[in-house]
Amino acid sequence: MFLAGCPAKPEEEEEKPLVEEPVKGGSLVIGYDQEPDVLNPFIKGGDMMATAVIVRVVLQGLLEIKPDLSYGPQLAEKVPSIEDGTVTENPFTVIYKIKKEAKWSDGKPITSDDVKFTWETIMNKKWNIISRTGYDKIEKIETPDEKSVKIVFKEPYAPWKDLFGGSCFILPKHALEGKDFNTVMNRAIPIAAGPFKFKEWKSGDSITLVRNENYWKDLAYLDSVTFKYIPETTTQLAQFKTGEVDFIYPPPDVDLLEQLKATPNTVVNVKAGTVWEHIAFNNTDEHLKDARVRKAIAYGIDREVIAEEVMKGQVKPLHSFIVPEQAAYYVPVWEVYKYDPEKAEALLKEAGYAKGTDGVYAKTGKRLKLTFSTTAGNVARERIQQIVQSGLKKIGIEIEIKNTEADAYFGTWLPESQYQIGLWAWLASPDPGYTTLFAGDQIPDKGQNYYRYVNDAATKLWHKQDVTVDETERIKLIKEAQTLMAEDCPFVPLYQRFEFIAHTDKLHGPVNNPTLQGPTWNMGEWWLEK
Amino acid sequence: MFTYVARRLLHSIPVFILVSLIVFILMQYAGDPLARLRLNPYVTPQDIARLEREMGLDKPVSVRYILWLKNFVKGDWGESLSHHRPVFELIVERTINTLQLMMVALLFTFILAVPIGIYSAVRQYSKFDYVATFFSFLGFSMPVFWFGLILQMVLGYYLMKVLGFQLFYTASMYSVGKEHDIINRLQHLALPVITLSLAYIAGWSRYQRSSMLEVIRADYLRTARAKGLKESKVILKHGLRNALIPIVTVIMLDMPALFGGAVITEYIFAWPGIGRLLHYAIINGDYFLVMGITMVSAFLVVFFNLLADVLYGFLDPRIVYE
Amino acid sequence: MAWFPLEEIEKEELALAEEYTPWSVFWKKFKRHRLALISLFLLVFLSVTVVIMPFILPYQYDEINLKTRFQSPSLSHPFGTDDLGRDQLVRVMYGGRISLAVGFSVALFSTFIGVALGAVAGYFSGWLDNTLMRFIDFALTIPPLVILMVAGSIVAGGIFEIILIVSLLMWMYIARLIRGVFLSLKEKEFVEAARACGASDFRIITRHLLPNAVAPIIVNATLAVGYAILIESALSFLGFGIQPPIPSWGNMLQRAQQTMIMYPWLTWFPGAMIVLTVLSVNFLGDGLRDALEPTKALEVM
Repeated sequence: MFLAGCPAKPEEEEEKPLVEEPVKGGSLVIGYDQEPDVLNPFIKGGDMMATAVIVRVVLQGLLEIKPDLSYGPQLAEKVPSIEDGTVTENPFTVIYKIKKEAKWSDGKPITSDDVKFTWETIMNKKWNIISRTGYDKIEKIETPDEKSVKIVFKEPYAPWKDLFGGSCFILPKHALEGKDFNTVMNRAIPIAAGPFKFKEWKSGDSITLVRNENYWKDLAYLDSVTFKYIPETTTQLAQFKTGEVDFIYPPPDVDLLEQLKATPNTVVNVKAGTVWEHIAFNNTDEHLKDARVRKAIAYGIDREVIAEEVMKGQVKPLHSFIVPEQAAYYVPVWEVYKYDPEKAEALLKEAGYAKGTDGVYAKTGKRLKLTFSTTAGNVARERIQQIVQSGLKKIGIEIEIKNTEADAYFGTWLPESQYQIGLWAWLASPDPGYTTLFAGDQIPDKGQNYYRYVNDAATKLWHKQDVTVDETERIKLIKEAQTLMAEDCPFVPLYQRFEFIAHTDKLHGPVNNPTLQGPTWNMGEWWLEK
Repeated sequence: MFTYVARRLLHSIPVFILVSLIVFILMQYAGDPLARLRLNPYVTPQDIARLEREMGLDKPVSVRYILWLKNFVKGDWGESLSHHRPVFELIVERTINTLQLMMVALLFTFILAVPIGIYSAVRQYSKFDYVATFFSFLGFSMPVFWFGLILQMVLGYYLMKVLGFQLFYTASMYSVGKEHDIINRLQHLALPVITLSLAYIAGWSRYQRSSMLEVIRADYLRTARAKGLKESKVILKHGLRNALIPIVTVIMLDMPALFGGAVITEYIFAWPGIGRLLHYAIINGDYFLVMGITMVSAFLVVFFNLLADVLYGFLDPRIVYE
Repeated sequence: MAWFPLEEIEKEELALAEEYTPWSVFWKKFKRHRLALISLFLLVFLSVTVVIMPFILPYQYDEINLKTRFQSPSLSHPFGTDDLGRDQLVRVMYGGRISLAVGFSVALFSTFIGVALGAVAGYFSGWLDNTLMRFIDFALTIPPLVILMVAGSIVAGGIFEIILIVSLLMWMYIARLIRGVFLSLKEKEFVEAARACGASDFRIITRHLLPNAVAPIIVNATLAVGYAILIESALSFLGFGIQPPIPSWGNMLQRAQQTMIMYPWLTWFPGAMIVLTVLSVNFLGDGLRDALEPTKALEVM
């Protein structure tokens, strides 16, 4: 487990012997900044973290993502693998066995029919499903018996584990069949498979969950959990200090973290997340299409200083587009771009630039003046911009900052490549298949290659790994792609954003899971001191 | 009177249409309902295009506007793009919460502002007048969000430290599980009500002061005094009634602003009202919801303007409506 | 300023005045409103300070120093430093330029539109008046909050755009007021006399009517300055105000409130500036009203 800036509190706790036994009972109030739009995680609006943290403890998947980003079985007995013959090629097939004891909160068993129903629901054209990527690669799902699922694919699909685990949940067929899926789970979840049941949603105010007394594993300790929606962070903090909320999961702001660490009787848990920030280049720009200019900028940016100063050392520089937690795939290929202003200027000269009287490099009369844009109002990003601006000034590159609000940025500026240097973040998943971001044939509208980066060799690698189910082979391909891309430097990875939770020291059990799973993933094991 | 009201309402129909058209067009440039999905590497541009089609966002603005207008007139206000719920239902639900906050704030402001205004007028240029004037202006000059957050810290957190128990809660409508506890509700209402009333206490008490001043100097009060009535009786019996007429008008005209104007207060105190709903809808380009709230607000402006005029005529018999 | 009706000044007032120029009468009355007088000096002082100070101070408003973040007020940084280690004093001064510029521009701009339309509507009754009044009704019916937020989210924080939006929300009030004044004035004898002498409509409006409406115009314009500054700060809180790195008192206060519990002094200075300015503007408006409006002016203090 990767702990970025281990807080003082947990260490103290280790010294104090944990003699206390978990006790049953108590209700927990969680302060949360954003209210879900809908509770159905499959349809539009259900893609919010606010939805995930609730659905996570009410519904379950066949697999779950552990805090170390590995997959573990949840409803399935084990993770299928080639070794034990549950994953076979030609045709690519995955076989799951559902746990015998797994049942819904109404007592009915969770069956292979439910898995099949889930797939059919996702593929049904009537419903406003966010994405069918991967599910459309499934040829058919067979249900040899009540607890066995055989998934037959049209073609090999490497990220198959994500399809029925992670952020996909198995749906109760008997409760949803024949209902309008666009509306049926928007305001309530009818039946639970997890440790908690949905109780009520007070619009604009709160959502309350209660213990699922019929849970097929150890019952939860907490009687009830209420998510209270408090949009203003300062208010959230005040609520936490007065004890009106017991647990907060605030935006990852360093100053806020410092404030919480100074709060008595509080446990703060910080961890590197899977959201990674990076400085992106428009690879078709007249200056930036030259790899030497891109590299010069990479050498002119002190990423250590950014991590240290902007994030107060809570994060470390990231050296790839794969996060270190994805240990098998990770190669720190961007490590070579250590801050080196001399090398940066040498590269610019090599690219045919000469320093003008104003201290700014120019080539054929065109000054090296670049616009640097990001989403307006994001304090951390604005700080980074300022550091980069003053850093690049020293190596003779003039940066003009021009930001816009997030909607326009992601809706227009990036897809239409209205930027020279950009700054935004991607969300990593446990599966490292980034074809739509980096393959040369994925330039918008086709995909999300906002960099307009084209390298035929890399493009081939990305497409090949998509259909490679042999793990070792796939690892090789992805490592190769990283090396190729670092050489081209179409962007500069900065750091993984950290995430943190803070809660009263009366609460025991939370382990911050930085993946898509959110901090509530093991809420069944949480308990409150009396 | 009836024809007057009917004519006024009829005249406002083109105004409503124009307002709706302008806000509708502006909304096309405001938020993007699919912004979050565009950030998700697992949602392909094809998915985005499909969802846009499913939501009807691919149609031209003119087509969507006419469709919206047609349905709106028929009573179908559409479905919120982000909440996937009927707009009307959402507005009703949140309006109930806002009304609660608003009514208490209104009452609080009225009880405070009117006596302050009257006393300031009767004792014009006294110490009380100066102090009241100064503080009402000070209240008006405070940025609302700053004042609200200071209240949370001082009356919420520090007061709790001093007292040992929580007298005022810092946010939301009630404590978990205490939805029907009136005391608990009042403890939650206190801070947002003070915040919301701040600017209005200033305005209303100043207004009350000047209308009272005018009345005090009026001939009929001189007559009353000349009759030998006691000064307190002169003021309360003859002065007050006439001095209250203008403030009623002002209150009516402030009503629509209070309806939506609570957005900052609601945001800070996590009050699940209409203002927060509107703010969220605008950021997320939820144009059906924005249109619904716009039309309600516009209607309230017209309605309360009319009500103010009618009431004025009712209270002051000299005014006749053709 | 020949419009001031001298005959209304009562005897005790006459005794006070050595010379009865309207200006001296105005000044004498204005001086009595202590708070207004103090406010006037304060506003002038503030305006001059925010213009001059950024030239004198050894820091730039956008000069980042991550080594000196969140420093409490000291000799080298009298207002402390902010979350990027920037000197708060120079930022408050620079932000003051922006906020005051927004305030005064909005006041000027909205007054200009309002007076022009209100004068035309009031002077030429008939269809022109009807159309304009319709337009004013329409502008008043658009919920200001909706327009502020929608327009704010579209323009994303340019100074000029913010001035425009806020002005467009305020001109109607002054327009209605001026229309009312003109309606009652245009029947007066002096207007008829002017008309009889063959004066053009434009001349009557600008030379005869407008000077008589100066009092409400000035008072309203003054108050508009305060409103505009407050609206900008509210917009900043909602994320639609003037965008960083350009500081305004509003966006500085918004930014500072995020760390308010730990570093409260960061909110004090921009907050106090807003309060001080708006308060002064209001007292000034109050004083001007007393001094300019002849009927109300002579209450003995």
